[in-house]
Amino acid sequence: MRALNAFLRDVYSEKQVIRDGVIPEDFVYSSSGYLPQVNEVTPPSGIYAHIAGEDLVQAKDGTWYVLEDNLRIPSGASYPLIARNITRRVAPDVYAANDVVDNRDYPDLLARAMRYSSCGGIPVVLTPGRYNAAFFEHSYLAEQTGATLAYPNDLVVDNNQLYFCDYSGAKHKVGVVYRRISDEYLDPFCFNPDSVIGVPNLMAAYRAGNVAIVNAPGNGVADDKGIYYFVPSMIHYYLGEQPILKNAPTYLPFFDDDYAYVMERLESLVLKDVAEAGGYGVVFGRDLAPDELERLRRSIQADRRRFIAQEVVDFKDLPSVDAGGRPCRRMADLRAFVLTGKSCRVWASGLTRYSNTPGSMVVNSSQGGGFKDTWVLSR
Amino acid sequence: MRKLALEYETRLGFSAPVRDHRFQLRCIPPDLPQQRICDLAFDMDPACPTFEEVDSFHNHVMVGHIPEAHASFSYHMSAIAFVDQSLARPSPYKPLYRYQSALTRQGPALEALSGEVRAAIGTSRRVDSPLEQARYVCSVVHERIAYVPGATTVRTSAEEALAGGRGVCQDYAQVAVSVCRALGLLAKYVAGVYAAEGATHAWMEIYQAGRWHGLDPTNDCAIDDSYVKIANGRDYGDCVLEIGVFSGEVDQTQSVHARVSELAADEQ
Amino acid sequence: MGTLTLTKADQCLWLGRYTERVFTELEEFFRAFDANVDLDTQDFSAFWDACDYEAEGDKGTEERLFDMLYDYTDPSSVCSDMRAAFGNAILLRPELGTATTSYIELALLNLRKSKEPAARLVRHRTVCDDILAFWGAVEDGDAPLEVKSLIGVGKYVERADLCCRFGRPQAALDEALGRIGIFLEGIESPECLPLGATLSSLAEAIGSRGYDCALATRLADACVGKRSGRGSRLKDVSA
Repeated sequence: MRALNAFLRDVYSEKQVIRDGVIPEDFVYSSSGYLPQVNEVTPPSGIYAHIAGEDLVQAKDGTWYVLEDNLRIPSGASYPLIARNITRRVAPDVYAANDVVDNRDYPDLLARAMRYSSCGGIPVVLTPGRYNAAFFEHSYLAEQTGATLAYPNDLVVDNNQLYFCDYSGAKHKVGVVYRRISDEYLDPFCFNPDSVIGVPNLMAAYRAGNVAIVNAPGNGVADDKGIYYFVPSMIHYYLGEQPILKNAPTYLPFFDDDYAYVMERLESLVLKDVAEAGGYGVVFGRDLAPDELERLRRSIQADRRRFIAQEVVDFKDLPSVDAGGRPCRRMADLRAFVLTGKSCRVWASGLTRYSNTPGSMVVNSSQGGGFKDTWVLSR
Repeated sequence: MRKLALEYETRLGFSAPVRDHRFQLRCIPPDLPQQRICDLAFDMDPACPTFEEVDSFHNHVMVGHIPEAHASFSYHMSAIAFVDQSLARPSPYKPLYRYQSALTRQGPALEALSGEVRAAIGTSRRVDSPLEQARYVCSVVHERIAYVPGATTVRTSAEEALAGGRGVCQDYAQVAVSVCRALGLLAKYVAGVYAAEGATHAWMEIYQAGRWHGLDPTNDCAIDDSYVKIANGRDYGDCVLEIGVFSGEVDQTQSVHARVSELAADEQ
Repeated sequence: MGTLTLTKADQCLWLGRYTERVFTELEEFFRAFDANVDLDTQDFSAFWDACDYEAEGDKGTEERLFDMLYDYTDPSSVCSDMRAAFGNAILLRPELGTATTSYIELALLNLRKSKEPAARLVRHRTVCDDILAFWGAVEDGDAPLEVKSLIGVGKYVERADLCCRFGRPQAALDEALGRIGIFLEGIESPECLPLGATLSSLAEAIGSRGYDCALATRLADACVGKRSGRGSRLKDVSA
């Protein structure tokens, strides 16, 4: 986390990491998450990723791997919370018999991280509206953190300061926005001019240092699938440390050696399109017919920067119950949440996402995956 | 060195009064070694308090809000500029400008043109410096696009403009920028005014030997001391001169008037 | 002043109105049903009239009752009202709290489960219990005073209207209007909300049904009368 924050600070200022040849400039500048609009803007607290969702998997041999970093709007923390609330009431004896760390401190961790970065004023959670798939989470986290739930029309920028307007026309200064609207829609004057869910001039207020945005705009450059490959070298470069968790073995066809390897072993690798998210654009070489493989080969050849290839990590599957209530085993991954304010805190829980299809490794909820609470044991 | 009188005016008319109008204007030319700006005057109607900021591309941005109902909005800028392009100072190398941006992204038409230009340059020994390559690009682009006002809009991408073969200065500049980037050059889009009366103008800049050099693909020439830059960026999207949101379902009319004139000898 | 927007204020008012409408209509339905039991009749015409329910065609009594209670395609059915209450409640989660809003969800689920004629009256009882629990939880909870007050105003505006529709005595109506007056005290700037218009149309409805509407008119005037010369104020509130 510290390395990713350092990378974001660097890449939006001096870009030393590129000059020193640690990361080829192609991977920064052609990343769709790189926003030159926030170049040279340092967030008020110097923190870019206040809330990070780290997707982890455990291989059959017990090794943990980092599968993906989510530094934009990692969602899902409210689900384990609500699940824990219910299960503690329904089955208190389970918790009495197992030393499960209470995870209901998440709202407190979140509120602290928001308060730390606040530029003075009320905290708000900015939601695109009730029809957003994650609206429950937006309103629940607002309730639990005591922040005001704001819709885009409730916010205005006057004199480079963000305000929340109440029904009487009174304006309340906003110090920190936990926004659940993606970068491109945040400010029609800075990003997508057609956005109707943005707040005009929000970026000007942010640039002036009058409001903190959680997470900072432009973080997409650091959780780009192409940049993922370089995270271990980033940790070494910025912190002089060795990574504690491994990356899944990854190859960039961009590099000639990796290209040759990928072309040769395509059948046994998993290929990811760096422009896609939510489990889309992921293909397993072994599932492809010869002509499909050939087509994939040609796509890689045409745009080597667009793909990354990974060895297939043999996930450990977890016990679950299927739709008919019968016990079964399903592939799962764990999204761990890391909150950064004055210091970095890992939430002692997380969102376990599992696949609803036997044998499938795609766990995203947009692709039919389910979720579970995650216990961290204190013994 | 030339001493220029600048004037730039934009008028927006609404078919019915609008309220709660928030806007950003990029209309103040930056004070640079090659263009010293003085005697700057700016006014708006209706007037409102404004806030100035500098964006990440170093453009001056005027931010304002008119809460009351108004059926028109206009602003006017005038200044004196001392322009001498030879005084431009070195700028840091910014690889960002080698990568295509939203409006310069290539499709079949741009890819074909870039390939053609690349082949032509490869066979010629005379065009090897970035600036010479870019001048060649300008001449090709100038040839491929007919100057037809109204054929394109501010949203038209370089690819669409080239495929249609018609456009205005914005399209010439974006097509040229796109082809230059495809050749591996660092190319910027520039919005400004120049010694001609009418609308605002757009051209491009090419990075060579630590400096940015202006080229005008619309007129197929290098820029001279009659060009005054107002904003620059990756493409038009970073240099929007006027953008606003307001409450009201209305039709909008816009008229822009820019004038750059060399001051008479006795005024110099 | 809290961070209550015009939209949220409107949701509070309607949440009060819809919960009251479901509650009272179910109570009145039971009253009408009960009255028919001893007489061995199937006459619900007075009940339907009061609810502005117009049965189409030659539907039987049970079918009409079912539609009035459960037809989602009819915006004036009890079910539609309950769903509208739920729609407003989930938007007020941050203000009211998940525990409080969940009573509305329970009421909605219990109403859906009450379709079987045999279970109907007992289940309706549960729906009313849930709504009572909701009102109590709002009153007892940490919601800002303005939120509680607006829900209260909405609830008693609706009650006053229903009093007239169901032919309750003037005293019951005055009682409801008195409560509106009390809840209005908790709203800091009623002149900024469309309360004056709401109360004026209430006064009109009361008058048209032959009741004395002087008190309602006074309340409406009080809401618009407080308007001061204040434009937009700038007020900074620290966290």
